Formats: sequence, structure tokens, C-alpha cells
Amino acid sequence: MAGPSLQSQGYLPVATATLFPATEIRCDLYLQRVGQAIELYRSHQYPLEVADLERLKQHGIDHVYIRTGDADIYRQYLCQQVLHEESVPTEVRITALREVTRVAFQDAMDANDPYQAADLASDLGREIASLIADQAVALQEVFHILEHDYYTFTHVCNVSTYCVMLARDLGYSQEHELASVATGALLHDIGKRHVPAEILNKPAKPTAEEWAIIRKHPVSGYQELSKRSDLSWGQLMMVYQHHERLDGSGYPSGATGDDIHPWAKVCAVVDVFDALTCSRPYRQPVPSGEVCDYLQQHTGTWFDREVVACWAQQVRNIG
Amino acid sequence: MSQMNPEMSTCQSAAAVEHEFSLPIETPADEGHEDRRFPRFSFRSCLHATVYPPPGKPEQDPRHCQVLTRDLSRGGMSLLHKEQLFPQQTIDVVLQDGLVRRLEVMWCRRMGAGCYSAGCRFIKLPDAANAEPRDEPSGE
Repeated sequence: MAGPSLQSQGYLPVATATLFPATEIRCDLYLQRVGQAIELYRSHQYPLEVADLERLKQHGIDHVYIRTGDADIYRQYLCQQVLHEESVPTEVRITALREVTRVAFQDAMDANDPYQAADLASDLGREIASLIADQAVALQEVFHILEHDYYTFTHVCNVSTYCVMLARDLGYSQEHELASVATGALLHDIGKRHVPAEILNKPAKPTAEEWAIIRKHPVSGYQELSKRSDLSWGQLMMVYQHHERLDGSGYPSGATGDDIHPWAKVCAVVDVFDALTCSRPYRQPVPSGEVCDYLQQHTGTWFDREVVACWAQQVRNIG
Repeated sequence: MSQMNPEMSTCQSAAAVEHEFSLPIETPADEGHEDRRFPRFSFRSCLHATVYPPPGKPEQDPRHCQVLTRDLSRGGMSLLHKEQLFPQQTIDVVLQDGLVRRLEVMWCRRMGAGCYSAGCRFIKLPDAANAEPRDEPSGE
């Protein structure tokens, strides 16, 4: 996965798992070899062959790059050729959806437009809910497909996918409800766009001053979105309350128990799960079983008992 | 059942509005959510208030209640309320002289069971609002 430096140069990483031989992507692909500058790998008029993809795989290359300006073209390719193509295996479609989400959000955030992000989230939330609910996908399958680097766009995509799976198992059966949950989850960290990238990507634990800045993100996210009439109260509470804890030790309000919206309780659990199972520059990812133990240790004090029990049941099967 | 904060219970049963002014007080570290442009004064009072629904929840009716004020400045005031308040939520408070002032919630923090502290800033109230209510509130 690319760090911020390549993104600031105008390149977006795209997973090679979403590239298919002989399909036309209509944008140039770039490659960065270890210790070298980024270079053109394949011009848009030359479709990739099976042998090309095999070679990339042999060299352990799981990402190539596109220009930021081509994000829309790549998104269209994913939607038309992968996401809605029923012959494509579910895991590839989920990977494509993750890519669409990440690229789309990067684009919206670069444009510094929270309303564009909210519109996108609404569309993508429906796609996520539709794919996850229709295919009855298990966490066991999804966990290995999702990326586990902690970057905001990867994270919101993971959290959204997890939220839909958890909500489904908690009894939310209507697709529009699941789509709402997915959308809220995609937006839950939108306030982080006000946190400087050097703090978010800092290869060490944040200082007290930096934490103070990070802790403002639920409020700034809520303030940006609260006037939108197409977002429900539950979605807004996923943004505002996903760091609240049942015993009042969370932020921004220190709300307790029933003052925390049920969707925020769902979001809180999978937010922590994804944060800990992702690698950070300063630590290795924590195994999913250990994260599950951690969640269960804080059941009733930080996290909702029923939500954790339901999630733990799914996590135990990851292996 | 959650236990009501005694300060709030006293507030809600108070018939008379009491005011208390004192010297400027220090900003508590845990409430430094906003830049202080004006000195704050301790202002303990129980005021009639209309709490309007937070943005994002327009279907909720405005509520008549009483709030306990804590401090006051030229820019705003902080108050206690028994329910969680949300940023950008508006509250009309009736001052002793009968004037209505409109507040916008900037931050809210739980103080104890059934008691939230909120920092609010004064915002412009339409002139007509002092003559007639903005909306027909439901009783609480």
C-alpha cells in the first residue's frame, strides 16, 4: 500500500487482484520497484495479459498505481467489469468494492468536499449492503481479502463491511437498513480530514497535544454532516458517538449506556477490531483472536455485551 | 434507574430564579473545548428554556424545561441539562428580565447520572422571536 508520499505526487495504489487479462482499463498503470522512482508500467492502449499478471504475482507485487486524475475511469472499470459481473467470484467483487471505496473516498477528500463524500458513501453503502447481504458472506472469507494497513480509506471500507456483517447477524434484515449502516460506517471518520496527515501517519504514538486534535474528529465530522437531510440520526450518531464507551469513559461527550445510539455501539466494536488487527508503522497487527479477547474483557464497561458476543462468534472462525 | 444529579433536582424544583455573580473563574482543563475570547463569570441560575431538536433529528419536538446555568461571558454561557445535548443544537433561555436569548451548543460533556454540561455561544435571535415563540413546544 502506498504511503502518503506517492499519493501527494498524484498516484493512487490499485490492487492487482482487480485487474483482469484482456480487459480494457483505459488508464495508464505505473509501478514502483523497491528503492526506485515510480515508472510507467503499461500504457492504457495495451491490455494486460495473463503472463503479465503472473509475473507481478511472482514478484510479490500486489499493487500498481494510477494517476489520481484517472480515479474516475478506474472506478467505472471496477463497477462495470468487476463489481456487477456475476461471473466474477465474490472475493474478487469484494476486493473491487474495497478499491472503489478507497479510490472514491481519496478523490472526495482530495476535493475537500464532505458533501461529495456523503453522496458517495450513500451509493457505496448500498453496494456494500447488497453484496454482503445477498451473498451471505462470512467474516472468515472477508477478513483475508481486506487489507490490514491502517490508512483512513482502507479503514472506513473495512469498518463498513464489518458493520454490515455484524448488523446482519444482530437481526437487521432489511437491505435499506444495512445500506444505512454501511453508509454511516463509511462516514464515521470523515472528521479526520481535519487532522493533519503527519499526525495520522506518524510512525509513533501521538503526543498528548496530537491526541487532543485527533479527539476532535467525531465532533467536526458530525458538524459537517448534521445539516444533511438525507442522513438519518443513526448514521450521524455513528459519526459522533463511535468513540463513546458504555461507562462514560469515551469521547466526545462521555455519554453512557442508552444515551449511546445502537448503531454507534456496533461501529465502536468493529472500529476497535479493525484498528487493532491493522498494522501500524509502530506496531505489528494484533491477531484477531487476541483482539476478540480484548473486546470481551471490556464487555459491559466499554462495549455492548450483545454486540461483542455476536462479533466474537464470527471472529472465532477466522483462524 | 439512573440517579438524578442533586444539583439538577434542586434546579427543576426551584420556583424562583436566583442569580449569583462573582469574579471571573478559571477555565477547567476538561472543558477547554473552545477558545476563550471573553472572561467568564460564575453565573448560577435556573432558567426556563426551550431546547430545540438537534440538527439531524427534526422530527423531535422542542422541549420546555429548566436549565441550571454555571457561568457566563459576553460570548456565551455554560449550563447543565438532564439530557445529552449535541453541537449546533439551539436553546432559547428566558433571562430574569424576560428577554429571550438564543444559544448554540458548542460542546457537551456528561457530569454524572442524568446531568450533562454544555458550553454554548450566543447567536442572533430573530427580532420576532422575542415577541412570539419560534415554534409550539411540547411540555416535558
